[in-house]
Amino acid sequence: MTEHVDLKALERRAYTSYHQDGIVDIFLGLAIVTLSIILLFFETIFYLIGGILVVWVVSYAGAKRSITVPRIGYVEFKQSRRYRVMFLVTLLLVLNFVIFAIMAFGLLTPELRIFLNQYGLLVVAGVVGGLFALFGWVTQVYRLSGYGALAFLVFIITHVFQLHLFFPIFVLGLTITVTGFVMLYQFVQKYPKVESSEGSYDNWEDE
Amino acid sequence: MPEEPSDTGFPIIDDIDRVIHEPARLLIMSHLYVLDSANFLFLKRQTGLSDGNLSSHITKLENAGYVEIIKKFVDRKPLTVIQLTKGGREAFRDYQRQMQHMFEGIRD
Repeated sequence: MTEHVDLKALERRAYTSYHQDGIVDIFLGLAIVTLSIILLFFETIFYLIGGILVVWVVSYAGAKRSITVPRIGYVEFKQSRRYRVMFLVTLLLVLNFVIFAIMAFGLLTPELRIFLNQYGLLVVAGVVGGLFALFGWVTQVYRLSGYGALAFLVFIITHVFQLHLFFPIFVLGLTITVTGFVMLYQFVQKYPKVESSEGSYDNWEDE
Repeated sequence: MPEEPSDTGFPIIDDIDRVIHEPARLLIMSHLYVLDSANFLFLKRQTGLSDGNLSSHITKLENAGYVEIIKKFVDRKPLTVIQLTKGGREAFRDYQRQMQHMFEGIRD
């Protein structure tokens, strides 16, 4: 046990085990599926992403508190971890705002509009795939990078076969959701819920 | 405070902090060193120690002044978390340096 203690690996293991519950996947997947269904009825969905993000963050925190913490315990990671996540959320909000501004105020030049009409899906494939890869790399939850590769692939397929935009978003969301539920099942099996009187300092302190 | 060092005739080993050097306590200290704070259950899950083992080692670390038990409220619920003290953090860094120094000094 003492032969070699890799502190970075230890911290990464603690962080990834805290996110092995699949909750982030379920929430992310369901948000994407929701977007895909909205897309069937409305053409412009970008302005909805910000709203979904707010609901997502609040619900995610509640799910973590009620599912993860009673099973794996409570932990506060170092500030550098929190800063990384805050950076990503800020990046997403800024990106959302920029896209909204471009769409709302008609800031696209005619040339760019023609280009996006022809190759828009390839741009989306790069941006979405890249964002997932960035999230995976920064948070060290590497399955997010796998979702990035999947996103890239389905958007390319949609472009090549000229499918409706609903297809790649729905496939991506459904895959992430199903992965999340499988992980949640495994997590719940591996870490049964500990009643509040068990496994807590308050309990063993009195023994 | 650290346990009394014994006289082995090997000065570097004599200087090693035996409170931290015990494998289970080293594991607990390592986790708390890389985290801000954690509760008992999280440490139990991460270290794989039993309730009894973990509690006795935390008590020893607390008595040595290396960890502190903090009771606080998170979302209006009481929560007890464990974190390294400033002294515990320094002691862990000293231990790291001592161990590196010791192995650098060992030659075949």
